[in-house]
Amino acid sequence: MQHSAPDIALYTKVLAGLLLLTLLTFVQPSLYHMTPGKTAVVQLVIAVMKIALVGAFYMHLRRETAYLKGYVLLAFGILMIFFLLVGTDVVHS
Amino acid sequence: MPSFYRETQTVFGTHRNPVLQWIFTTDHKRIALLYMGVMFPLFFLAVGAALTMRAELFFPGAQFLQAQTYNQLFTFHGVTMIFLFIVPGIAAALGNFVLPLQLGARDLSFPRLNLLSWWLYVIGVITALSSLVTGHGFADTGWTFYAPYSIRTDAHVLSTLSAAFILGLSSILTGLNFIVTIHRLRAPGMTFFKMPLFVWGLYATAWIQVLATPVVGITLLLVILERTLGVGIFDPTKGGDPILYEHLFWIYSHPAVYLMILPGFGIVSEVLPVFTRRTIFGYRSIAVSSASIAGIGYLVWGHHMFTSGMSDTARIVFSFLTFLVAIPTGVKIFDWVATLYKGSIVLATPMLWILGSIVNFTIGGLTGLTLGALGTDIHLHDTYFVVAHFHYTILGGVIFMFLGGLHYWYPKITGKRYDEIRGRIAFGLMFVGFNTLWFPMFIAGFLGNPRRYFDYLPPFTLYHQIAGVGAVLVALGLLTVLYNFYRGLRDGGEAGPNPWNATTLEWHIPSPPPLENFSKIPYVDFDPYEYENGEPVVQFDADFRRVR
Amino acid sequence: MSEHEMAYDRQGHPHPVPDFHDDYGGEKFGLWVFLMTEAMMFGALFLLFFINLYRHTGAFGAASADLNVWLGGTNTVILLVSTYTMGLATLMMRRGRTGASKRLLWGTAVMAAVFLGIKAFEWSVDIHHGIYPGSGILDARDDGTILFFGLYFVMTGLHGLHVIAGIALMAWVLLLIRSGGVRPDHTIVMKNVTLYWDFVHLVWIVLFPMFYMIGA
Repeated sequence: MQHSAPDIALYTKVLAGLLLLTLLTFVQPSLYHMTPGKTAVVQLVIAVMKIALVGAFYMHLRRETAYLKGYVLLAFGILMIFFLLVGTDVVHS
Repeated sequence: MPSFYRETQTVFGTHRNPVLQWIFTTDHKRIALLYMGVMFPLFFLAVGAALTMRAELFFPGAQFLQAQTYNQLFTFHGVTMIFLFIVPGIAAALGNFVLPLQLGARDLSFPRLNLLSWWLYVIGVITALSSLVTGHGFADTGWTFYAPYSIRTDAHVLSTLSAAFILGLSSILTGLNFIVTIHRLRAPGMTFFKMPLFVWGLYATAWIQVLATPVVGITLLLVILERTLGVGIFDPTKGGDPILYEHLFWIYSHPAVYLMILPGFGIVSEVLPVFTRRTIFGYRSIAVSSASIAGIGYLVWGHHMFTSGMSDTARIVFSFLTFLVAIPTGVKIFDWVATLYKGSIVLATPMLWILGSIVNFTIGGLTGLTLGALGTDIHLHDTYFVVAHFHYTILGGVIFMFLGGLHYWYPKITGKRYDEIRGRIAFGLMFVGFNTLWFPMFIAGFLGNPRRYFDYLPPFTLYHQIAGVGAVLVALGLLTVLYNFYRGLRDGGEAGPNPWNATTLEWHIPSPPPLENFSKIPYVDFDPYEYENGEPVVQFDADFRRVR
Repeated sequence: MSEHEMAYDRQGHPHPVPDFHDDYGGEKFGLWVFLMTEAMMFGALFLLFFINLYRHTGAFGAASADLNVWLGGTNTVILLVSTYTMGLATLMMRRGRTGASKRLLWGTAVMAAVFLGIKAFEWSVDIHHGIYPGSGILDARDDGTILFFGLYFVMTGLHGLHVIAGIALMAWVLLLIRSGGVRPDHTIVMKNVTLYWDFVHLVWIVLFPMFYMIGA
């Protein structure tokens, strides 16, 4: 655990990045107006970037052990498989 | 040192009252017994429901039950057996007791969370059973609570759903506890591939508990909201989709069956080396296969839905994935048979249960492949064939393995020996009775006898009557087990630390164990099943330093 | 149990025995496992959302336009800043600046309460207009709209419950700081509450655009 000033600076920089992405979230539909479906996709991409920032820096995933990172990815991967398989059924119904 | 029966640690200070010393304990060994104390009576209640149904079905036509009552009985049997007994199952009962011992630890990582798991379990049990005496009677939906019937029925579904949610939480917390314990509290030197295979089974199980249970938890919560608020997600009259309910329900409930069997497989892998007096064949492949079964098991749930109206594409995908999951199980069975080959087989009672379970599970597993094939499943879905399949795997497999484990660890838990002859008689009754009860049902189902019906057409009578005889033998077998355990407690001989001459760490401490398990934690630089000329290789001195 | 209990190998070398009474890594790992269960639970709800979005895209877009982007957006910024203050609070505690830590913790809890207030206001507006699960007005609309608002109330409701739990946890941490259970050399409980709060924010990061922005 580091106990030095850069930590606060890092948190603040990440906050700035998140606020910027949030601003983008608000203005994206007015900048590029699309169908609800396509808007959802773009919004998800922005959301994933925010999740990556929060996960890596606020939740310190970057500094965690390889197996913890592996398990988090495992859980996410299993969730994606549920989406994929149920989605396959829905799309083909 | 006094045994854990004499002293304990509790969560709120100390108590003089022995009841409080049990229900507020944080000792994993006592918590295991607390689970058993609630689980086993519930098991026998559910067996009673089954015997009642078998009696009603001994002849075609109505004997003494109404159709609605019959629906409630099989729902009660399913809900009790699955949510109240087999999901906590081996992990809560034997896992809680044995896991820290096999790891060389003094307790689980979170002992108070463990107690909370038990309390949640008890609250779930009370909530589930309350609907027997409240509302419009016990749920009649089957344990699967399919929408839209579960949204519409008058029966008291809310309390069963709430109970299942609470029980799910209990299961999740136990799984979390086991995962962290296995990662953090292994004795120094014990790498993952030096852990006993029962621990591997519990580890794979714990990940299923943790990742799959939340999905069914939220699904059941949604059904509660549908019933109370009219949300509309599964209700066709509001644009909802009942097939989505089935997807979400089986996303948990299929992995749930692996959650039931994996600790059982772990017990088989524990018992076989001891009673063949040699190390297990293929330790690594068995360990990896446990993880693979857990992993692939997440992918196959759609095979419960082949006739639901799911798309053809999805059906083909799920059928293919279902065939895949048989492979790691096949690897295990091969490894077990290879262990038996050229081993010095000792047919002690635990070994009989384990060998019986392998036979039963092989039959059950193969019939699962029959059901996993799309064409045959269309014919067999919702018939007795399915019921026979899962009773062969869960009763013939998991319960037989559970009983084997109970007979194996009985001396360690109680410090006493039970009578071997009586044990073998009980096994014989159960093995013969079980197969008499369930094998005819494969045939009846194949010939078209539907499941969950309170009656059947006269041509099927013989099958039900043979099954009825089998049911009586099963009941007798179970009672003999109970009686054997009781007599063992009352006037069995003293067991000593290692009556089976086994190798894993729990057999190096007194029976029953003291509160803190180990006087000193050993350093583990050996494999779990090292035998030489039929004798354990590893020996410790009084300070738990290795001398051989 | 002494935290320096040792196990001795055959050469006589000592190896430290892990102690479950004081296991920072274990307790953090335990919380991560819990967060994974929460992710699966919310994940299943998002699965239902995306399927229904696919099936009723037009209706979802129209219903989304009915939600107030300004209120939802304000909540988004509030929640984001509150995770910043929560993280700083834990950082301050680790550096021994207990006073600053407590103030930041209070600030986080207040922001969380404001979040709930705005959310409750939004709900009351909808309910006042007869838009809530099971209402005659909602059930008379098309399927897509019924499903959108059904999911809206369930998911923001479940998220709101988690916010309430978060406030309770922060109150608990404040009590622990007073009693010494949380102190500069023993911060795991506070660290875990911070991780939990970050997760609550993660859910909102997906929830907000999916419900509020697709119809904008």
